[in-house]
Amino acid sequence: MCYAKGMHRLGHQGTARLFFEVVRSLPTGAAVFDRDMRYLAHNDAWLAAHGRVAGERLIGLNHDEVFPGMGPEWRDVVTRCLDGAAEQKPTGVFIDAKGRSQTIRWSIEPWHIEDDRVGGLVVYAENITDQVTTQRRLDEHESLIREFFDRSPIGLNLCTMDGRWLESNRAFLDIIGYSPEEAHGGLTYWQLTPRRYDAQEGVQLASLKADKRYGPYEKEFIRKDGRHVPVRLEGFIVEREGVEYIWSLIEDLTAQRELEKRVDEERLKAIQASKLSLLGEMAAGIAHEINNPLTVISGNTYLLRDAVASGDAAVTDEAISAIEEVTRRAARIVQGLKKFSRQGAHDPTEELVVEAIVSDALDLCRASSRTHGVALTSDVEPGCRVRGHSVELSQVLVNLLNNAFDAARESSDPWTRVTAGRTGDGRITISVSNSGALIDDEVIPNLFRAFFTTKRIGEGTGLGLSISRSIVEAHGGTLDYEPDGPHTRFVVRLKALP
Amino acid sequence: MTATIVCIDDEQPICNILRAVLQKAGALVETFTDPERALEFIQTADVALVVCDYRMPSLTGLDVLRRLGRSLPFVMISGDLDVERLLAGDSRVAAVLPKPFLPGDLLALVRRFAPGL
Repeated sequence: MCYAKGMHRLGHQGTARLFFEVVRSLPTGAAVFDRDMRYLAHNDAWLAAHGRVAGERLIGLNHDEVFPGMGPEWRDVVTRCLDGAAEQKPTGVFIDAKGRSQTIRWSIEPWHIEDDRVGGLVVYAENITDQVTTQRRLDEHESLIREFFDRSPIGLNLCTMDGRWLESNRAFLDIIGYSPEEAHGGLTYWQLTPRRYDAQEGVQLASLKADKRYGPYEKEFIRKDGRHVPVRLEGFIVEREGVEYIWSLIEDLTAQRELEKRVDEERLKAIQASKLSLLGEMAAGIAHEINNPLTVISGNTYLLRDAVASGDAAVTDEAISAIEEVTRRAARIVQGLKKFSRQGAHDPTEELVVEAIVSDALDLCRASSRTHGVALTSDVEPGCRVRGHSVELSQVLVNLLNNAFDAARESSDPWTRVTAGRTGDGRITISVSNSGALIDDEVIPNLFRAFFTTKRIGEGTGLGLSISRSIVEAHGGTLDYEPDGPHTRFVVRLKALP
Repeated sequence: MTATIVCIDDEQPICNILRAVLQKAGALVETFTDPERALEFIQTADVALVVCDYRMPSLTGLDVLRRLGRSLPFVMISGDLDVERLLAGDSRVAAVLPKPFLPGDLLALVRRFAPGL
């Protein structure tokens, strides 16, 4: 700041004039004072730095008159400098004539007359109010961003293009379980990525190259404790001084996964409960279906006893054949029940033939249809295939059929009909219609609501249709009430396999 | 004994058993899987007893009982779990025999209404 170095020894009037001239032409505010702090010279930049009117002449005025209330600290500086010291004040704040706070950076030096005595002071002043304000704003902004970075619940992380981690926030460190020193001491993205994600990572890397961004996608990180934590990631490339880095946003999905698991478990429980309720409703019909074969077995056993004793081969053969046939029939019913009762939700989905699903459901429901005196017919287009869980889809049909029997049995000529076939739009529909009265308009909006039932207590839980719809939807399909003219009809639509 | 025991059940194997067991005991038996045909037969024949299934597609055992047109000993057989409760207190039904039954139980019951057997 000392522009006039070497010219501070003024003994000659010409030299002094030149010095004042130099001071006036300096771009920085500068003023020359005598020992009594009266102005000998100043430039316009000095006036501007102090918020004074341009062109104002301060020559001859005392500094204290121009800037009253400079305080004891200033006086001490002046005294020290008049004793020969040179001082710099990084910043000083004063209130200008318009009442605005101004920040000045000072530098004060003595000037000497020929016999080395201090003749007065040269003060340089630079108004850095704007710089200070800008810097303060930048600092505030930076601290805001830093706070956002530190406190974000989403993991944030900066890494090199080859996956070395440089900067991470608390949330990210919590996800991976490493300290900042460990994470930023050479640990890489790839060390914490299970190998089974290699192919998926390849896709994301390609996207990063092509579009400068990747994700969002889901994967796992291997935590420091070895646990695998599910995460959702997305990110983009940033450039700093010509070098590319990757900014990533990492979301911990553990809680979400646990919630999904719980919802899934509850769903399975509800499906199983609904199935048990269906089995309860069907028990009477099933008992009827088993009691008839048992009667035939018991009767033929009675006949056999005498036929064997008397060597009557014809009666023996006939009785054995009859026993065999009804045993097969009873076994089919029991097998159907066994298949229906098992919880197959954890099995992988399989390719299913619609004819088989319908026939399984019909086998289970034939007894009920007879119990209710409802004629049961079906018309299924051969070769239709869907993907799913056969037990669950059978459950949907059994539920729709049981409802249909209840609805149809009051009609004069009770019937229930199952039809299935392809539609033009690549789907397969399975419809269950019956001869019963149409469902009341005010009931329709509630049909698929859980615990809604029009049945008497003990005859239905009100879960059947709601569970059935959730099963069909989990198969990517729909279940709706679509009356067919005067007849009640429920339609399942599923995506057809080619 | 010349009067006929009429057996009605929509399932042929049950009819076969009823016929074989009762015939073996010396009864004259007619079996029907169609209750309408049975009712026609009953109008014209000398019937000692009707053994009838409760649940059939076209008519129930009670429908048959109502349409008998005359008073006859009527034994209801059924595979329904709650048939005894359903028919409790119906004085027209002489006896209820739940399926599955043993031939001995059938014979014992039939002998109550056809003592000569």
